[in-house]
Amino acid sequence: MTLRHVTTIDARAQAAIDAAADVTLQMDEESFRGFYSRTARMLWAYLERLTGDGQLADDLLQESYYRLLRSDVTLDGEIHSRRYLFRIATNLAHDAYRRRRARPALVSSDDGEHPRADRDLSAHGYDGRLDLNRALGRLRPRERALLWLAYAQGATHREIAEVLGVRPASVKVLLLRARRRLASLLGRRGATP
Amino acid sequence: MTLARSCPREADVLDIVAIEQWPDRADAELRSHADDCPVCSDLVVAASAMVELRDEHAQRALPDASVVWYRAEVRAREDAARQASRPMLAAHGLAVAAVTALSVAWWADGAAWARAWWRGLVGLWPGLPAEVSLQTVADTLSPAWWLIGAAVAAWLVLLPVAFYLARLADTDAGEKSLLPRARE
Repeated sequence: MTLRHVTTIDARAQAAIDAAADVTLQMDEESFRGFYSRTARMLWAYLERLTGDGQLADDLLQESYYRLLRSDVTLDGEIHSRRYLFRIATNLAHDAYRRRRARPALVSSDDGEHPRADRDLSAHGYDGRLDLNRALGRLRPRERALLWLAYAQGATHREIAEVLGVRPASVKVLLLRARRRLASLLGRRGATP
Repeated sequence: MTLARSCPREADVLDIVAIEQWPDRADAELRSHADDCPVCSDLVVAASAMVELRDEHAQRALPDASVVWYRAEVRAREDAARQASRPMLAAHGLAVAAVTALSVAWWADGAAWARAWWRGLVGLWPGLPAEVSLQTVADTLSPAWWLIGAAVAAWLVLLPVAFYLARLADTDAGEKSLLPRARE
């Protein structure tokens, strides 16, 4: 094998790499900008509520959009894209939660769920907002996701079911339990403040 | 005890909570109902909490869309290039393995000092074949020696490949860490 042969093989390899590097994404840049501006804040807030960690929410936000752009799924319109994006984000947040649980030394809350929960109280003592954050930190990630999607984002039961990968018929019961648990953690009963 | 699973007034309560007007816009009858009904009571607490937190993130600075797009594009190209280069990696590995095997065979078969060293070894261990050539090895070795030889040969072939792949993985990881972070 001569040097010329080696050069030819390398050139072919480079051509293959260049061809593959001409990647296709789910949407063009212009469409992405519009979609991002309509969904990013909502998605970030959702991720932050799920993880309790702003920095992690930043990373998961980027990762969610990347996976959406690289997905092979046929996205049928903006609503479908948004639900699929939130589904990706939910899975990523759950993966992050599992990783956090697998590293107990780095977990700050006693049930290993939400780093914000006890940090806030230990730093500032009792406060209404901080108490709420702590109570949310005690909920399971799925309960946080359910409550956030239903009442902060106004999602329908069907949308929630798609995002969380549960049966639509189960959403009502799961929501009821999540509400009951949050109210119980907050020690509040009775609707009139 | 069986707890209620739903209440017909839930929607009425939620409509007012969602626009942050609870309890001001609720009539006395609805307020009284929400106080007594465990379903609506929990709904008010949970939904009010979520609504309260909803506006918390309004001022949060997020990465610009162009930054997210740019990083996704860079990463997509990297992933695609990595996939495309996998067959070439395998070919490189095979080439390294072949060159290593040929070098070892040539060295064992042709080098005078190696033959002298082998004869010395035969003096110490008479069971070994007298001549160290590929032919004599093939003719005289027992199956057990073939197995040992095969293991050594495999080790000689695989070790450089493993080093090569490990080095490539290190290079990939190093390049990845140099990617720009978002300009936030």
